Amino acid sequence: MIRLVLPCWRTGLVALILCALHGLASCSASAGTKEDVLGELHATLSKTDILCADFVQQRLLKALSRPLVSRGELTFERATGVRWSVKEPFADTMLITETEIFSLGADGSRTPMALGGNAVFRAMAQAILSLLSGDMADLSGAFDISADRDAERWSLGLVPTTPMVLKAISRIGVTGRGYIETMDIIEASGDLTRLEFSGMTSTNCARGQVK
Amino acid sequence: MLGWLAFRVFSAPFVNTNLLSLLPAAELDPAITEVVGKVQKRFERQMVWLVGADDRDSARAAARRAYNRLVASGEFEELYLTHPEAQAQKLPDYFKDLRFSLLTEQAYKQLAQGQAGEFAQDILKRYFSAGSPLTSEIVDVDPLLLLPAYWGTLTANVAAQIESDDGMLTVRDAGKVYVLLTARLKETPFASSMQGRIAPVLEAIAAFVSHDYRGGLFIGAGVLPHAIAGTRRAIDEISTVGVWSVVGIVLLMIFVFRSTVPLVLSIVSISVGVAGGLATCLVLFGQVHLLTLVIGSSLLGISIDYSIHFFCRRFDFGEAWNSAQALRQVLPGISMGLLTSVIGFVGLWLAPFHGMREIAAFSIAGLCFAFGCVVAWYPMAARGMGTLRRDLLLRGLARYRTFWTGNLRRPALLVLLPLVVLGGFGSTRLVAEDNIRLLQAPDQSVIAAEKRTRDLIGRNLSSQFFLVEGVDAADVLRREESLTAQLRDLMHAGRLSGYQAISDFVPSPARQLEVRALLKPQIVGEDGALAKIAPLVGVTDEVRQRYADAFVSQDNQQTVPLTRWLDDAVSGPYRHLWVGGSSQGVMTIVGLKGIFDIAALKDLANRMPQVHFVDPAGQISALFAKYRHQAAWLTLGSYVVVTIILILRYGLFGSLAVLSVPVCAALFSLGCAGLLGEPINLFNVMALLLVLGVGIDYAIFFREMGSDHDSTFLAIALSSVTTMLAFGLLALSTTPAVHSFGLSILIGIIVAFLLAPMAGSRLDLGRRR
Repeated sequence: MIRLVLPCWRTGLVALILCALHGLASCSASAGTKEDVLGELHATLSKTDILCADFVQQRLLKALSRPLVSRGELTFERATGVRWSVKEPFADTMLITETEIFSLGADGSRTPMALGGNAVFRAMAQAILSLLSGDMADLSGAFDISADRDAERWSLGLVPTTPMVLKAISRIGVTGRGYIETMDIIEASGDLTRLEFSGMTSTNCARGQVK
Repeated sequence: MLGWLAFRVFSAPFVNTNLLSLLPAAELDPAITEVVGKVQKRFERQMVWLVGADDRDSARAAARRAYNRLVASGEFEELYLTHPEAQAQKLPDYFKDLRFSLLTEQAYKQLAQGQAGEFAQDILKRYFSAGSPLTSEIVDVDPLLLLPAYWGTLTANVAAQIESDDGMLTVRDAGKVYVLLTARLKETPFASSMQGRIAPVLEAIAAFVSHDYRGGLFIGAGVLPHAIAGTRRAIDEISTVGVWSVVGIVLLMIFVFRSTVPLVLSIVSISVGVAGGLATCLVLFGQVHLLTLVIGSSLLGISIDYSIHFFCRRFDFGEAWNSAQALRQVLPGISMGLLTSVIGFVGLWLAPFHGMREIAAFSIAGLCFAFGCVVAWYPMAARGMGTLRRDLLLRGLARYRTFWTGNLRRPALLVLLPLVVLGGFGSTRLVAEDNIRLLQAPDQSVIAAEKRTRDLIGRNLSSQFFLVEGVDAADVLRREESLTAQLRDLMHAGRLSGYQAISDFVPSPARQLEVRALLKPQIVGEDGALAKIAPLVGVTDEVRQRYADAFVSQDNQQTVPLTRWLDDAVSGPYRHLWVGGSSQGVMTIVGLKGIFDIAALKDLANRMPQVHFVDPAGQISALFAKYRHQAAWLTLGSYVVVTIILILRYGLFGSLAVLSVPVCAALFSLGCAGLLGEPINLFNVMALLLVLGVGIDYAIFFREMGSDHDSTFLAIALSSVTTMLAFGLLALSTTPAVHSFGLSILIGIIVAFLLAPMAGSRLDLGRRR
C-alpha cells in the first residue's frame, strides 16, 4: 500500500507545486500586467515634456453611411497642455488644459468652449491629456482601468466612473507599442470615434506651439 | 424696557422690515409700476441654495437632508431638489417641433442674402467640428445640424456650468460637488415673523451640512438672507440705542434731581408718548417700519424735555413748591417748543417719502402725547415734592451763562466766529451721495455667500431689465426680436455681456414663417444644402427623405405657439421671463447680464415703443438726489415759517437772536460733515430739520425764562444731554442713512446747546451769516 501511495503522493505534490506556480504566475501576471503597463506608460511618458504626432480621426455614426474623417496634428507640452490642430477637411484648433478647453482663433486668441452637455468630448479630451502626460493617477480617478499586454502591444480599457459620463461613453480602448497608437471611444448610443496616431515622437517637435 | 417692548413688537406681523417700501413709488406709468412691483415681489421670494461637499454621494445625501428640513418648515410654496425632466438625455420633443424654426443670426443672414453656398459650408464644418454635440440621434432628426448651431449661440445666456446628474442639478468646481436647490417662499422675505421661523432652520441646516459631511458647505443667493441679516442688525441697534438711552437718562435724572419720583413720572410720559406714536402710525398706515422705530426710539430724548423743564423749577421755588404754578411758568416755553418741533416734523411729513411720513407721524403724535401727559397730569402727580438747593452744577452753569450776557463781543469772537467760519468752510467741501446703499447695512458673510453661489451657477443677471409690451404673444415676441437684434449689436460692441429673452426659445410666428420660407429650398430643393451635403457626410437617403417629409408636413401647419413652450418642462428656468397678461395686453421681460453702458440701453428703450428699461436701484438713487434737493428747500421753508412766528412774538432783533442759535448749529453740523469727509445725503438734510426744531427749543426757553433762572439753563443742559444720548447713539449705526442722521443731529445739538444763552440777550451784537 505504501508503495502505491508514494508515487501518487509525489505526483500529487508535483502537480500541486506546478498548479501553485502556475496560479501564482497567472495571478501576478494579471496583477502585474496592469501595474506593469501603467508603470511602463508612466515611465515612457514622464521622461519627456514634449510630444507631437499626426492623427486621423474617424467618427462612425450609426445614422451616417460613411465615417467622418478628419486629419490633423497634435502637440503636447507639459507646461501648457495639448494643442489639437485639425487640418482637413476644415482647419480647427483647440487647446486642452487641465482645467479648461479652449478654441484657438487664427490670431492666437483663445475662447473657452462651452461644453455644458457634451460629456463625450470632455471625457475624450481629458483622457488624451492624461495619457499623453503620463498622469496615471488622474486617469484612474476618472476611469476604471483594465490593462493587458502581449509581446508587442499594450492595451488599456477605460470605463468612466462618473455616472453622467457613463451615460454618454461606454468604454474607451487605448492601444500602443511605446507611445499611444490608437484610441477607440465607444459611445453608449453605439456611435464610435476612432483616433489613430502616427509618428509620435518627442524629438523634432516645434516648441512654443502651445500657448 | 424699550428693549422688551421692541422684542414684543418685532414678533408682530405688522412690522415691515423692507427698506424699499419706505420709498416713494417710481415715477413710471402706473401699469408698468404695478408689473415691476409684481416682478420684484416674485423675484424676492425666490431662493437658490447650493449644498456642497467633497464628493458626489455626500453632496447628494446632504442635499436630501436639507431638502427634507426645508419642506418640514412649511414656509415654501415651491421647493425643487430633483428635476425629472432634466434626467432625459434624449432630445426633448419640444426641440423636435422647433427644428424648422430656429436659425442662428449668421445662417439667417446667409440665406436671406442668397449665400446658400456659405450656408452649406457651415453645416459641413459643424459635422467635422470637435466641440459640437454630434450624435446619431441628432443627425437622425436634424441632418442640417441647425439645432446644435442654435444652441451654440445660446450658450452665452444659458447656465452652462449646471449639469443634470441623475435628476439633481449639479455643479462641479475645484474638486467640490454642489447640488442645487431652488425654492420660492410663501410670503415676502421681509415679514419679520417668518424670518424668525426660518432663520433657525437655515442655521440648523448649515450646521449639520458642515459638520456631518466632509467639506460640507451650505450657501445661497436670494433676498431672504439679506432680509434676515438686516433685521437682526436693526434689532441689535435698536436695543443698543434704546437700552443705553434709557440707562443714561435714568442715571442723569437721579443724579440731578436726587429722587426717583421725577424719573418715574418722566418714564410714564415717555411711554405715553411712544405708545401714542405707535398707535397713530398703526391707525394711519396699518404698519410700522423698523426704521421708524429706530429713529422713534430716539424720540424719547426730545419728549423728556417737557418733564425736565417742569422738574427743574424745583431749584428756583424757594420753600413752597407749587406744582400747578411750576407748570404755568414753563408752559409758554414748552408750548413754543412743542410748536416749533412739530413744525420741524411737519416738514418731514411734507416729503412724499412714505418712510419720512411715518417718522413724522410717529414723532408728532409722540411729542403731543408726552406733552399732554405732562400738562394734564404732572401738577397732580408732582404735588408733594420738595424743592432742591442750588448746588455746584447750577453754579457752574451760571458762570457759563454770564459769558454770554452783557457785551457780546467777546463771545462772538471767541466762539461764534470760529464756528461760523469752520462751518462755512466745511460746507464748501461737501460731497453728495445718493446711492441706494445708504439704506443697506452690508453683511459681509451674506454678500460673500451670495457672490460665490452666483459665480457657481453662472446666473449673474443684473437687476436692470427690459419690459416689453405687446398686444398678444405674437406681437410681443416680434418686438422682443427687434430689441434683441439691437442687443446683439451692443454685445458685439462690447457694451453688454449677454441677455435672456423668450424669443430665443420661441421665435415669433412671423419669424418662424420667415425661417421656414428660407429653409424650404435648402431642404426640399434638388439644389439645396441637404442635397449637397448628404453624399459628402453620408446622410442616408432614408434620413433625408424623412426629414424632407417632416418639413413639408409641418410647413402646412400652424407655427409653434408660445404656450407650447410655457407648458413644456424645457421652459422651467426661464419661465420668470413671462409676465403674462395686463390691461394692455401681455408683457415679457428681457434679462440682462454684464452691463457696461447703461446710457445705450436707456436710449434703446426711448427709441422703441412699448419697450421700457427698468432700473430699480438707479431710480432710487435718482430719487434720493431729487428729494435731497427738495428737503433742502423744505428746511429753508420751515425756517421762514418759524422766523415769522418768532418775529410776531419777539420782534425783529429778538427773533434774530433766537434764530442764530439753530442756524449756526446747522451750519456747523454741515461743516463738520464736510471736514470729516462724510458725504452729504438726504438724511443729513432731514436731520437739519430736527436741529432747527431742537435748537429753536433751547433758544426759546432761554428767551422765555429771561436770564434770571439758572434752572432754565440746567433744564436745557439736561434735555440736550438726553437728546445727545438718544440721537448720538444713532450715529453708531452701521446703516449709512441712520448714521448720517444721528451724526448731524448730535453735532447740531451740541452747538445749539452751547449757543443757547445767546438767545437770551437783548442786544443784537452778534454777527450772523
